Amino acid sequence: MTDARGFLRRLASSLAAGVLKAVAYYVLVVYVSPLVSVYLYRAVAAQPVAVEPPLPRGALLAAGLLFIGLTVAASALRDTIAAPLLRATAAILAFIFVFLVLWGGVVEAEVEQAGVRFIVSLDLSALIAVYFVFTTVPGIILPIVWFYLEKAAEGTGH
Amino acid sequence: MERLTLLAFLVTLVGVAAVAIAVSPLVVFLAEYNAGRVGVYVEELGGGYFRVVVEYNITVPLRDFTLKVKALRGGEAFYEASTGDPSLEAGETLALIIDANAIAEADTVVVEAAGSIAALYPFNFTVVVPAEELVGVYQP
Repeated sequence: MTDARGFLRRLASSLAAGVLKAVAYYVLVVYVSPLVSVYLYRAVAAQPVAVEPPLPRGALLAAGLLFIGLTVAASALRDTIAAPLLRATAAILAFIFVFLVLWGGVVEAEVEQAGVRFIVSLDLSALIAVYFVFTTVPGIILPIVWFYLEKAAEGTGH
Repeated sequence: MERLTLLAFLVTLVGVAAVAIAVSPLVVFLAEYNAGRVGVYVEELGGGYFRVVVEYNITVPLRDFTLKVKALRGGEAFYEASTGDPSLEAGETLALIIDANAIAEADTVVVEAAGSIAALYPFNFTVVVPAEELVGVYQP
């Protein structure tokens, strides 16, 4: 009985933490990222232009729900191998998402004023590479490494 | 376990710091670019010459900067002139002198300024203008 209660308590706190993180991801994905991508486009064009974000709202919503699902599942299954694999999957999906929000790495704006055409482009590959190396790669490798280190530590009684 | 938590925190911190360092010159450049601190204009010099000028007043240097002018007739380029600067810094001006006779047959002139923001982010600014309206100030 005590074990079952303890398990339920752990599950509830995992789910609560997972839902909080997931809500943060949702706000980031559905609200903040379109603002960032549109601002980037307008900054390159150097004027307010009507811009649609690179991802449609439906895709943003799907991405948000997917992050919610992965985060909640990883928190709930944290004592199993599924948890680090789910976190690694979330890291890969986050990278794909960032890549798409940054217009695939190249922001290009074309504006016409009084018969003169301005074409401005900005290559963000370096930023995407930094994000991949310093955030995505650790996000994929470290949860798996730590899972096995934790298991080893439990096995030796530390 | 505490060491693992500390390691996780340090890895996160390093990741955030790396992205912040990579982003900061870009943010500064875009803010100053939007404030109009780059001037691109074409002026008539007299004696049958034009001068294409880039005045750069952005704090972040533009590496491997090139300024190119192409004259097109029917979509085909028949004339091209260029100049460059390995590192265009704040307060510098770069100019290219064009012989008006050389581009007299053009219907369109393309002015292209390109460089790499802080040696990280290739940036390209191109103006496509009808040849008869070449003289002027170009800022989007």
